[in-house]
Amino acid sequence: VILVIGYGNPLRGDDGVGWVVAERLASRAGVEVVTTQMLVPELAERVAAATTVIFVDARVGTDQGSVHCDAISSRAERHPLGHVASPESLLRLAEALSSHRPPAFVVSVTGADFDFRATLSEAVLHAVPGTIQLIERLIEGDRDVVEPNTRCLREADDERGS
Amino acid sequence: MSRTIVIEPVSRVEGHAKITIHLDERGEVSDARFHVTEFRGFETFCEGRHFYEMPTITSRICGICPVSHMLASAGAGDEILAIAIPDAAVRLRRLINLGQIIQSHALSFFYLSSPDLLLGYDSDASRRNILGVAAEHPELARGGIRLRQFGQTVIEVLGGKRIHPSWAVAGGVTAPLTTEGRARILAALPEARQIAERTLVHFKRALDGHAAEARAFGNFPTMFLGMVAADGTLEYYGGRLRLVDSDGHIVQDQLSAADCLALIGEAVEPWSYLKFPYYKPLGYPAGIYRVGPLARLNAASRCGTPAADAELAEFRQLGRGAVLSSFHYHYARLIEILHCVERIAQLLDDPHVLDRDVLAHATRNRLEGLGVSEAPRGTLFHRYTVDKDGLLTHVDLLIATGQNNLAMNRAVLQVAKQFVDGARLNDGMLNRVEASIRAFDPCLSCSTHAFGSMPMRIELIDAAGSVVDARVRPS
Repeated sequence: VILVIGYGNPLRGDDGVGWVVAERLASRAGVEVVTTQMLVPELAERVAAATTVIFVDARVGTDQGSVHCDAISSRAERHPLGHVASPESLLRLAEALSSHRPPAFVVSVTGADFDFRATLSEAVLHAVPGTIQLIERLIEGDRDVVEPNTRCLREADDERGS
Repeated sequence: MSRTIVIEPVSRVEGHAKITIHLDERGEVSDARFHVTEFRGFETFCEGRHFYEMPTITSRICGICPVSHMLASAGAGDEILAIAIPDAAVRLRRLINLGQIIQSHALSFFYLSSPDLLLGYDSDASRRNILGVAAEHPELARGGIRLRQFGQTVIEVLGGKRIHPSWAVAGGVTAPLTTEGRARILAALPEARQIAERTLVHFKRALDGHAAEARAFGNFPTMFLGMVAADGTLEYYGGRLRLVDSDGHIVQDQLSAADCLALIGEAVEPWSYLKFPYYKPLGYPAGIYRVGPLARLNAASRCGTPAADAELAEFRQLGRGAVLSSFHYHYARLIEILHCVERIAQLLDDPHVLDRDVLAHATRNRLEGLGVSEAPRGTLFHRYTVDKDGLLTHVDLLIATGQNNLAMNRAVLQVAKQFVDGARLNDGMLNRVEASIRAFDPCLSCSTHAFGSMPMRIELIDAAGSVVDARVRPS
């Protein structure tokens, strides 16, 4: 199963974009969707059981409404894990518990407004269909959507022996 | 030249705090303090809100123990309505509180403290976390995660969501337990019990290896406060309060929340935002008392469930009256997890647990209300005063961590005197000082978390206030 985890605070405007995107993918066959305010260690076993994990999050930047896709490596994590996790630490925990680390990606949308509101900004709302298309390509195995020059991707390639 | 060592922030606790260790002219520890450096202000900004909103508002105080605040707040609301809530609501509030205690204790033991207990206080700091535990003890780490999930499932089944449920209200609860919900909890119970029992076995085997810490981590006589049922059995919700002394003798028993609060004073120190509650008849600071798992097990006559009572009998052999070392908060936490699992099974076995009459309706009938619940970290009080329209004119929250403030400060001093050598600081020494605080599982911010996001900075300051040495531990 492909696990899509949309996370963020849906009461803080564009921080809820992960929820909106994930919920629209919920009806897709072979896809399991989780929406959550934050990543927690309790997700590790579901991560370990997935064939691919796609984290959907908001990001901060000046290119508001643009969509990014990064492959992630558990080795990129430098922060310790408490009751809140990052995608990297969650992958590391999943691997420690099950000896399996699925390929994982972070799809993120640059937010425009993180103020107290339960709706997305215009810029991010317009980016939602494109974000879903990108994730569907990822689900179908298309890795061309992954941004080529990220540190995480290079590490992931190293681990695959390429 | 006297010096001061500052540990800031204290890691693997909920909230923002720092520790200062003062060294005398010979470089020996002369004093140590645990400073809480954040300020929340809930008591003030809730004024003007309607008391009926308070369970939802105050559950936002904490992301770890929102249920505790929700229950104490709903209890205060019940008093303002001046009604007895339906029996079914009392049972369900009890049930959700047990789930809360399990998930919070699992977080404290497995995620925050097990790295010290399993990997060692002197182990590589970069691996001293749950990832390191998972790498070396995957079954134990997996058990901790599953146990926390179990507690969260109980909360979700009853309250509708795992964190910040808005379910307990003045007058009862908003929804009964469903047959499906009961079945979901029952299905997960056997594994939860196995994990609780297995972890206790593991912990007891390792206990001898922590003898030095058990001797020095807040090991001193104090009083202990905890909730008990009418027959003295351990209780977490709907009971009365008992104070025992360090010999285990009952000092006060079957106190109402109001009578108990009348015995508690609050002192203030200029170096901490956390007040220092104390037992008034003994004065400040002699009236030091502790709350939480260790206090509850010391105060109660029995747990009231067979497996936990067997464990309690063994646990009590650690003391000649009450068990005094704060290190044994960890041990008490594990016994409480087992007890809560057993108690949940008992409650679910009661055919009335599915009763649908769970909410009584009334308008404001009193101008004051006081609610109390045993939170994972100890006894929690919410006291509200309202006007004739039910709008809050005064809010007083006495949280568990505050009540342990005097004891935490004494624990820090005791550990620092035992382990800190001013001539040569190392990570293991300072980690032990922090770990003495972690044993209490303090919840300082209740909803914001410094862990992992800030570096730890230790400074040596001379008598003139100059920093003569500093060490920064990266986040």
